[in-house]
Amino acid sequence: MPSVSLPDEDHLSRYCKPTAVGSDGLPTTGAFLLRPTEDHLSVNWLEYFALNDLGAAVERVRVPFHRKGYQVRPNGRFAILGVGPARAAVEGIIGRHGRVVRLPLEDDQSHAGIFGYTADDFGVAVALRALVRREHVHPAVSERIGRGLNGS
Amino acid sequence: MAGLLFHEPREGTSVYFAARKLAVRRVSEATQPEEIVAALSLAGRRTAADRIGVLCKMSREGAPDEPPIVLDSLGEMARFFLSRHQFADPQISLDPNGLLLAEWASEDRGIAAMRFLPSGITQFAGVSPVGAAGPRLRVHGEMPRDRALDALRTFIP
Repeated sequence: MPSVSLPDEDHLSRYCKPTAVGSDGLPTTGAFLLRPTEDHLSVNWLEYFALNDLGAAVERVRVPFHRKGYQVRPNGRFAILGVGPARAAVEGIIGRHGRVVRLPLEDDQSHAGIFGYTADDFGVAVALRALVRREHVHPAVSERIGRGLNGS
Repeated sequence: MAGLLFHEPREGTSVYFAARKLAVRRVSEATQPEEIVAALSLAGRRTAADRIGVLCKMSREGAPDEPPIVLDSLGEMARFFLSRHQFADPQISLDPNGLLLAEWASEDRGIAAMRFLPSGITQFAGVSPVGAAGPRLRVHGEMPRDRALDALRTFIP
């Protein structure tokens, strides 16, 4: 499938594991670092859901995480980033072309990736962290999902 | 009177220096993260010790999704906390490989972060506050931890 770059004005969410969330409840740089085996940062494209509210789109992102059996934990977070600023953060630090590309999976159609940096590019992860605003950080587990999983 | 036994050693006193020297030795001899947590607590770095204790627990309970803490990285971070340098308490977290990160964020100075590699080298980066044009640097690189801290001073509150 040809890769489709996402528009700069669109938005992404990144799941941040509890050990990459500070005691202040905000994601840290650790949430934006790659493993040596990874060539992109996994994110979700929020405009895929065609909702007016980014928070409501994050609610929809939680569903495939549960469907895939991924252990989304209560003290994890979803952080929202703009596509353009994320791309600029990659390019601004390492001077290489950064890309934000849609990577749909069978059970996660909004899946996307931030390309252009490696596990050693610590400065890029810090620049991505710098884009996070408290008002754009959402709990990883919502009460609604919790009720749904309990079948009530 | 008994309550005094629980006071942290006052900075600059002989008790303080003795506790720190002992803590450094215990960090070097540690075979488990919890021993390093105890050493930091002994030296009066209670906030860092408590946070690392929480990370140890999360790391264990979150396996296999959470990485195990890399002991040598934790040791490097502990030596940083036990150094003579003065700095505000950072946020402490883990990278995807279990390496320790320290991070300072403020609206007026931006973000500064350090990753403690097991080799003794520290990766660091500082980004000034995000403006309309996005994040601006910026310093970044790899250095021994003390020099990395010097490089980041303007970003740390």
